[in-house]
Parts: sequence; structure tokens; C-alpha cells
Amino acid sequence: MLSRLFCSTGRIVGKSTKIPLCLRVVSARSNSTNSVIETGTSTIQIKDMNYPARLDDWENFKMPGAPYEGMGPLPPLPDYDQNFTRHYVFPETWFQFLYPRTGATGTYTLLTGLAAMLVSKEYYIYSHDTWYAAAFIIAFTTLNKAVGPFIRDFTESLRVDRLKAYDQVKADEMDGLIKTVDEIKLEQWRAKGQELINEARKTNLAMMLETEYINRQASVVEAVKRKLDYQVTVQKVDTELTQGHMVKWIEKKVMETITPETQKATLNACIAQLNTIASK
Amino acid sequence: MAGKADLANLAQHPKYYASKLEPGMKLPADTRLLRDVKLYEVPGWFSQRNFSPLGLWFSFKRFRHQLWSKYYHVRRPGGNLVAMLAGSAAVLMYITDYRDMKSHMLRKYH
Repeated sequence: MLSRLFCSTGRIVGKSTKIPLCLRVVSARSNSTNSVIETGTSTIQIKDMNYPARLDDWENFKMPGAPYEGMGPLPPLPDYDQNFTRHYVFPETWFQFLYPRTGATGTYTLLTGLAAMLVSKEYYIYSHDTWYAAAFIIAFTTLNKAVGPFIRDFTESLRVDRLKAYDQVKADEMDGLIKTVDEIKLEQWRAKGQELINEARKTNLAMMLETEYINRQASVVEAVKRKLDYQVTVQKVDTELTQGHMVKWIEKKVMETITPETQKATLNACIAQLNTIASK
Repeated sequence: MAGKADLANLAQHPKYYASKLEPGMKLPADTRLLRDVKLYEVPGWFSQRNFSPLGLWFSFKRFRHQLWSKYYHVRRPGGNLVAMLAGSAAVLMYITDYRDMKSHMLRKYH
């Protein structure tokens, strides 16, 4: 673990302004080879330049020769494989190669002529070994015809068991991979749930922001109003003071001027006025 | 050079017919089939082949894969492969020992 940390520190993360730093660090940590991040419309893919043929879109992959839905009936599988040798040792491809030019007997003619040439020029030397070879061929051909199928059936189980084991390995691998695919799909579905959670969180956040905004607006209004109210009250207090003082001063002065004689005179005048008004 | 491998005309060898080719892939210089190589170009073609130990191993591997696919990995294999190999071995042994058998010739002039 520590060695891994030691190796991963000091790695130069590419300077690209389009790709955010967090993604570059993640890709540099996870990939030991060069990686390029491609930001598509909605997906982010980390591409390893040393393995460019890696399949990223594995969900929509179709095997090249796989049967598809509207293809129709498959060709029937033959009971036996076609013969790839003629007379047990000569490959069929030799005969097919010469068939267009020389027909069905072309290769036979060629081989016969070749044998004739070899014997004639004594590139093949007739000796006691010739008889040995002939006896060998006849004996083994007879043995093969007589006992060959029996031996093949005897040893068929060994071969078939091995092939079955190979198929089983492949089947097990397929099952494991199918399970992995299902798990991946489940994780993708869960991630979609995360999207809903994120949306809810976003709406919650928006609501909280709006409430905070409104609260602050209200507090601003209140503060401004308080200040203005203060000014207003100060002004009122000033006017009250001045007016009150003025009124009191005037009253005082007026009261000073009022003497008992003037009081009586005004009173008589008022009574006379009232008499005139009453008579009308 | 005609037949030089590039991504445009890479349908020249069955190995690359249906493959997805990425830019930056390393391919052999000449991807023509041997049947499409002119006779006067064959020595040049032969000299271009990979004769390093790994290249020789790969060529042997290809040969064996072809042989086994045709004669061994079939549903009911017989003794055809063994017979062909024995015959080829016999022919090669004969060619190797021909020099020593020249004294057994029946005629002097052919």
C-alpha cells in the first residue's frame, strides 16, 4: 500500500484546462499508462492510449458472425465433416487447386507423372526398401480398415471429456460475466437513484437560498427603516423641543403681559360681543 | 510501393478484413496475400518476412494452427494427420539419405 502511494506521488498530471483537475488526478492514479479523457455530451470516458482497441461501448456490441433476429433459418449442420484428404494422405486442396484447369483427374495425372519422372531419372531408387515401404503401407492400411474405428471409439471418451471440459470453462466464464453484467446494470440503476437525490438536494438548496435571500432582504429593510425612523424621531424631537420651548416662552410672555386690568377689559369686551351676537 | 499497408487499403489480408482499425496501430509493411505478389517481387517479399526467433515461432504457430484446424480439430478425426506427417518425414529422410543411396542405382545413365 505504501509503495503504491509512493509510486503514485510525483506523477505529472497533464495540464489541460478543459478537463478538471480532479478527473485528471483520478485517471493518473488509476491508469499506469497514458490516458486521455474524452468528455462526451453526457459521459466521461478515460481512454488508455496503449490499448486503443478496448471496447467502451460494450452494451451495444454485436459479434460479427452472430445470428440476428430477422435472418431466417440457419443452414443445416451436416452429419459428417467433409473429407479433407483423399486416399488418406493427399490433401483435398491439391485437387481443388487444379480442378478449374485440369478437371477431376488433374492431380492424379500430375502425381503419376511426377512418380514416373522420379523413377525414370532414378531420383527414387528401386531397392529392397521399396518392398519394405509397400509392405508397411499395405499392413497399416489393412489394420486401419479393420481395427481403426474400434480404437477410435475406444479412445473417444478421453477426447470428448477434454472438449467438454473446455466447453464447461467457457460456459462458467459466460455465467460469471452475465452475473457481472447484471451487477453493473444494478449499479447503474442505483446511480440513477442518486440523480434523484441530487435533484432533491438541489431544490432544497435553492429553497434555502431563497429563504435566506428573503430574510436578508427583510433585515436590510428593517435596518434601513430603523435608521430612517431614528432620523424621523430625532427630527420630531427637535421640532417638539423647539416648538414647545417657543410655545412656552410665548405663553410665558403672554401671561406676563396679562394683568388683572386687561383681564377685566377683555372679559367686558367679550360679554359685549356676546350680547350683540345674542341680540341678532 | 504498391500494396503498402495503410488504413485506406487494408482489406488486403483476411486478418484485417473485418477488424476495427484504430489510428496509431502498428501493422506490417506489406499485407498482400502471397498469391497477389508478382513473381519478380517474391524475393523482396521473402526478405521482408520476420525471421527473428519470435517471428519464426509465430510462423510455425500459424502453420500448426492451420494444420490442426483442418485435420485435428474436427468432429471425427482419424489417422490422416499422422499418416501425412509420417509420409512427409519419410520423404524428408529419403532426400537426406539420397546421397548415400546413389551407389544403389540400377542404371548409370538416365
